[in-house]
Amino acid sequence: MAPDGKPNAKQSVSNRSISRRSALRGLGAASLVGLAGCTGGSNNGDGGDGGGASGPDKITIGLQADMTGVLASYGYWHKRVLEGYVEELNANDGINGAEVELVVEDTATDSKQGVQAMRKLVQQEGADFVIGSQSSGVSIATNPLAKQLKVPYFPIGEAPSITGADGTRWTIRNNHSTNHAAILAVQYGLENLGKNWTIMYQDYAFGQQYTEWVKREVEGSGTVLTEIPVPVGTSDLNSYLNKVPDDTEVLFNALVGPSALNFLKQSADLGTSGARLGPIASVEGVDVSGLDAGADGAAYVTMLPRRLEEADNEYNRHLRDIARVDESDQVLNGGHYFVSYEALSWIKDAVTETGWSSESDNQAFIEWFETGPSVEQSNAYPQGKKMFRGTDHQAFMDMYIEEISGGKLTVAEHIEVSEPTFDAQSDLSAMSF
Amino acid sequence: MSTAVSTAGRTLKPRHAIWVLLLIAAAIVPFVAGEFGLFLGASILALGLYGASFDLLYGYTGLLSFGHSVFFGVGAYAATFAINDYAIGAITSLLIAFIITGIVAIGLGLIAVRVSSHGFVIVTILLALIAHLAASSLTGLTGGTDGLTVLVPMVNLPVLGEFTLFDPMFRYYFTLVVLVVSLFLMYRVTTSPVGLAYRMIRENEKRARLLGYNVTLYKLSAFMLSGAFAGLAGALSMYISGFVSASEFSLTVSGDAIIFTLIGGRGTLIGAVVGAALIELVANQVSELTDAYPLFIGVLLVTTVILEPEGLLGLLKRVKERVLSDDSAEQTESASSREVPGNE
Repeated sequence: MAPDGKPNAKQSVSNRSISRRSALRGLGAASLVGLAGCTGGSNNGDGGDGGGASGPDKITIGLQADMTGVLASYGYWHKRVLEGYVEELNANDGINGAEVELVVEDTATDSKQGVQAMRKLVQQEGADFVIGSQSSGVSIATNPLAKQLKVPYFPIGEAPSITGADGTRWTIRNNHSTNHAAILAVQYGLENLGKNWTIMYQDYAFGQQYTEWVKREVEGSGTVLTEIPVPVGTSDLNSYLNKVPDDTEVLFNALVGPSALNFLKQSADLGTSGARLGPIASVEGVDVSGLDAGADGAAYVTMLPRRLEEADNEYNRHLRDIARVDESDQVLNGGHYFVSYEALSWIKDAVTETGWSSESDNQAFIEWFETGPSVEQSNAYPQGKKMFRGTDHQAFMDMYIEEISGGKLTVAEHIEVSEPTFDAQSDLSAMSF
Repeated sequence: MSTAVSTAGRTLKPRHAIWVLLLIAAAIVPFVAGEFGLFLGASILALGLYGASFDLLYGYTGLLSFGHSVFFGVGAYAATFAINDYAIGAITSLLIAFIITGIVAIGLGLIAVRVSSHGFVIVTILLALIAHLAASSLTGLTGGTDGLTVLVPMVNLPVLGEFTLFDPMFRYYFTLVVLVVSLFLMYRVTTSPVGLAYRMIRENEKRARLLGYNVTLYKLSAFMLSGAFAGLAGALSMYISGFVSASEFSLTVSGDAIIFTLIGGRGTLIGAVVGAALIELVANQVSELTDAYPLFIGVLLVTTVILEPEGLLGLLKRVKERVLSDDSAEQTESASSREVPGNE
């Protein structure tokens, strides 16, 4: 097909077919070797479509990590804390005597790449259980694949539909759902901040879902004056802040990235009405000591305070030791990093309780979560007590309201949760395996 | 000594050997690869088609488009809607993706190909940005960045029966067949008089105009064909992953097509497939060693552009030419030594 394939060249080629063949053979071989490197199953080699059946002497945990992309700070901490936890488990006889191996694949915070990472973890690395991405998009995209591969999947994404319309029987979420956080934030806001609400949100799934649930919860006990969508990546928020009604008492903000940070400064500069309240994701990974004084007073709903002083107990100290928090120069994603750690604790408990030894026990493993297990705060569950609802495989836990004060995040309120905060959106336990 | 082999379609010549050998190599992959290898292999084939479709535009016509992701995304979504909303079969949905993307490409091409080379680049970047923003915002329709899951229906093949794309082996061969047929069609275009006109436009657009060619029409046809095959690749990619999201429209996806083509060798079609295979395999292997694997891709690209602008196939060609010229020189020398005076 070479455009310059002239008669002379053709004759020369036919006389030198060995050289040509050698070169092409090399190229072809390189491709095959590359793919052959993907023959899968580092430890099982059973060739099944399902999770790698590691022998009872080893349990492989996959981490579908957002190591690059917009959620890279989450991936960094989830990987770091799991590495430490696996090391500790193995130093203490693993899980039921089985050595624990951690394998990590990057999602690049992209749904498609996340799905590919899941395939690689299971089909190539032989993961028995997979702890999922922080990205809701990746979690939602991976749910059906987990079912197809027959591997228990612990997504960390927070979209309600992950354990709702987009869930499968193989989905188990020990992280909170957006609606859980929204409901408790509204409860706090109505009791402490006011009845007239304005919602400013990043105009994509994350912000839209918070808006939907905040609106639903405020109605009846208060009023949502207006909703202000902000396009993703917007830095200058002046024109959006000017739309905030003067009688706003609570300015709920579900913003991320540059929008979230500029919101703090510009709302203070403009003297925008309303106490600022939002999810911790807005400032996760951000050094709040470097923020303008205008950030003071902004409050966030979170699962675990970022600073040890705000929840100083032996379990939290142990968690921080495991994650080597003090040795890292990265700002701690305090509200989220324990979730992957606790996912492994849940796996450990379920394996122990069900006597799991291979993928043939996966059904029993999942059914154990459908019995609605609950745990108390401990080294394994440093965030605090929590319970699973068997119907939708969704965990519930206490939450905190943290407030920026003098360049620090301090706890304004600890909200105790003793029962599910919302109705199950789907009955995953009734689905087929 | 003749080395040409006649086939029903046309004559196979020695220069087609790389196509044949790569096809043989691709055909035996399922016998050496595991399940993930088959998935990765199918993904590479779909991306190879995507790269080749870009090469048709850039490598042959010289139009450097940064908006190729638009066609990839449109194709993926067209097939998704055909399956999810209209319960249309897998093969028909592929054809629908091909046709709809071709139509979209004509519409966008009417805007893009009328402007000068730099203007074309800027317009195509803007098209990709607008498409990405729109797809991300229209979450009710596209699923936004969270995307949509697609249950691809069974593939009905006459005589052979029904097959599921969940079967890794079938999925791989199905993708391979679509790629081979597409490459063959694109190759026929590039070796036809239309293809010659494309190359003339690439080499000297002004001269092509002076010779009476309707350059805009030829560019538009290249844009349409290239877009349609990119759409087909997008749909195929969705078939493999069972998933589609707004990120299909991102500039990074456009960049992938450019990288595949530059690394593999432009103006060759098959080079983009080789480039896709190399990049995907390197990314897959290096990502196990470091999170900074995109840097390796960047280094590979920069190195290729600086040291071997014609890509891997260009390198192969140069090596071959060097070997041949050395051997020719030896032959000439050898023949000279056997020459009988007065026998000229």
